[in-house]
Amino acid sequence: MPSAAGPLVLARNLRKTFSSFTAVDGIDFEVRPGEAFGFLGPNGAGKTSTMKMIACASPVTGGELRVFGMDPGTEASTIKARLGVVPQADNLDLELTVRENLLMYARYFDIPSQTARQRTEELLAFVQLGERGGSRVEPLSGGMKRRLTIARALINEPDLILLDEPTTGLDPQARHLIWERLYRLKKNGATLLLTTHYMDEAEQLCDRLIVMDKGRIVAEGSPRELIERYVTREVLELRLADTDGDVLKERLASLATHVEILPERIQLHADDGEQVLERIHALGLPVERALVRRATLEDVFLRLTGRTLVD
Amino acid sequence: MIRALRLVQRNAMVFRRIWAGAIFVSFLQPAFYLASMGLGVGSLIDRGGAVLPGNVPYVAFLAPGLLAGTCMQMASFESSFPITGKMVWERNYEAITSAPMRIVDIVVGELAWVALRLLAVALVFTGVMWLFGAARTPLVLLAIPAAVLTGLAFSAPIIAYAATLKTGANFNALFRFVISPLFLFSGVFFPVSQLPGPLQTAAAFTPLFHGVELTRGLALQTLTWPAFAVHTAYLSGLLTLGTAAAVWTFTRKLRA
Amino acid sequence: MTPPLQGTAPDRRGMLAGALDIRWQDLPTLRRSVRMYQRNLMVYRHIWMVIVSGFFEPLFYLLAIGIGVGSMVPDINGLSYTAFVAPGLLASNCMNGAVSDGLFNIWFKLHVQRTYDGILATPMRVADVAFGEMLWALTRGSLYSAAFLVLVFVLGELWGPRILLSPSAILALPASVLVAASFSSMALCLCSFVRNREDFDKVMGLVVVPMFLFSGIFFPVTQMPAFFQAFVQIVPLYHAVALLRALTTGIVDVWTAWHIAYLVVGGAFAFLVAMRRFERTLIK
Repeated sequence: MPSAAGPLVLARNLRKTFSSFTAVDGIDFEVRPGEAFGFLGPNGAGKTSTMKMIACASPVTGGELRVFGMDPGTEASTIKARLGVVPQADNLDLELTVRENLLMYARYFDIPSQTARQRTEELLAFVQLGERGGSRVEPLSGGMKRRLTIARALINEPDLILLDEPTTGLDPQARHLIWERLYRLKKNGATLLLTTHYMDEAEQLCDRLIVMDKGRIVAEGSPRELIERYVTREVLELRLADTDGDVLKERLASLATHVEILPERIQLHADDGEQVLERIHALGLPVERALVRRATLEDVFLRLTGRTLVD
Repeated sequence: MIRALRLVQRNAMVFRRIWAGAIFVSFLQPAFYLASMGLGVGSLIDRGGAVLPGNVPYVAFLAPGLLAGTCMQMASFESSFPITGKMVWERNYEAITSAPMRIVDIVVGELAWVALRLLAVALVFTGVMWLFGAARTPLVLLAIPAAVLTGLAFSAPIIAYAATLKTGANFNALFRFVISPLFLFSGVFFPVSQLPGPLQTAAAFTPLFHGVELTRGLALQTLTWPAFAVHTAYLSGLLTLGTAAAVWTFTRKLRA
Repeated sequence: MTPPLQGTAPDRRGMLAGALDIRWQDLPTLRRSVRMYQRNLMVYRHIWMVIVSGFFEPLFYLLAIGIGVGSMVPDINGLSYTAFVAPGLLASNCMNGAVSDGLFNIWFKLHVQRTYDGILATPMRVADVAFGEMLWALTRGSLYSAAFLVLVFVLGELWGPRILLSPSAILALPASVLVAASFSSMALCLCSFVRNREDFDKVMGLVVVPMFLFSGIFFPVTQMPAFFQAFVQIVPLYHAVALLRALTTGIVDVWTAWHIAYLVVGGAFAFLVAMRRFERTLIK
């Protein structure tokens, strides 16, 4: 729930350039307290670079960035004390046990030992690793390691939690467990800032989104707003026996709001997919396969950039 | 046994990436030791008039011992971490046994690879010895097979042990408390006759002692036939027993 | 506005000027550096055997070379060979504590496990991490030194030739702390240049082993050809050996101050360079 306080993160014309290329090319956004804010885009869009700047792990090369109202260039330690960071690649301490990872991390924040021990047990229970407290980190599965990283990010009771591709590479069961935990955090009032290239993750978790491509913002809004604005409510996916692209496009253009010809299938965007399908049958077109589904953010991205989110 | 060669081929492929560094080090390491201990300390010893077995200057005394010791170290190193690594993390052996290779082929193959590496090192070392004037006659070349045998005698039992481990951590103890002390006290740097009585006897039971005596004896032509027989028998026996043990542990690990 | 410790703009001012351009608040704080220390204590609680076993190596060398070989070597400038070698082994022990364990371990955490990335997401800064790791390496080196000195004293009194020949030998303890600190910084600096496993082997084979063999531990450097004698002046282990030998034998002269200065300045400079390079690696 947005409060009267100012945004937790504020970016104006934010830029990040490396010697050979520009990762982030002048973006503006703000993150309000209590919301789950997402950066959606394919690999290389500039999401991770943006996250790193917010986390004070990478210097800003242009524009303005304020986290908790402070400048990451000069007040990094103060900002980091109030952040929780879940990075893309796990960097857990492999020389320590699960419990020790949390205890030691608390010490880096100068949290007193008593409090640290208490929070460690609570967090282990929260991410359902209570039984593995004494085990080494290496033998844990990918999902468990990610849960441990999330627990670690919460040890200092942060005001803002940064998650960079939190469920990439995990099996569906692990992903759902993590989503469930993150959702619970959100309900308790935490502010989440996450990046992802999974549209289901963005739709499930985020209140507001920025869609990024090649370092720029191509769209922003809530998931529903984006779908309503850029695509129709439903999508009909077709496989036709006769695949003469341009001719088809002309014939189909009148049937739907938008037609997308892809290498292996055709998408027709319309508010009522079934109706369109009936008319196609009526026209006698040779349909090999047909599927009517809800429109997703993937369709939004395809519409905006002509490419898919996942290569 | 052709199958054993396949393993050698595979290792050679992996080795190709790092061979330059390995040759470099196997030339420089003996050169450094012979220069510093052999000549540096050696000149102090020779000046002091100590009499060494074979009546040779210290550098000629040290060099063959160092050759045997270096072969021991290299063989031990090659037979420890890489074997456990291949067994546990890289699972090469699992993959290889799916092909028509028997366990004994794998073990012999690994030993053959170690032998090849040892041979290369020993050849280079002997060359360095000659450069430093520590090689008196061409018969010093006899030291090469002796040193390789010494290395292999360590390699086999360590390979057997390495197959049973889940992690490389145990090897630190092996190197700190077995290999390192053996290297220092088996007669490489000073004759074991300098050790107190009971320790001398104990040393006679350890493998490197035999390796050093054999290598040095052949290099300096101070070896008697009975001594030759004893040392060779000991080392060959250790090699055979170790190989059998390795086949046994490999079988348990891979067939279980 | 861009902060001074940028990683992205090329530093044309050169390493020295760059190394000295440190703001007051970027220097390590003791409170935070101690966290790294605590972490290492936690880690070694699991693998304490590694520390214990580290005591034995110098002992073995002392017995084998100091006494075993030593019985064949005549006195050097009136010193028994054992008394000559022992302080040298003490110095090399300090070096091993810093290099053999510290160097590889830190590099592994930095590039492979990426442990430091995680730690830097907290209020800890690169300087704190570097200094903390150095403190730990320093402690290990000092512990080993203390044990070695006690051992050497006992050995000398009970058994053979006296090894510690002067009351100034007690100063060898703080001196070896200095040596350990200096080597820890240099190891840290070296660590920031190493890119992969092969580089390590090169460092060990081309730097550490020759240093060990030719810095005057086993024979006086005056025995080497003049060119090498001149070269050895820039080798840190040479100074460490000379310093500790001066203290254990009581033969202190004006050069001793020079050795101390070298270790202090060299160590400080190495630490600054290491800090800058790590900053650049970890904050891009």
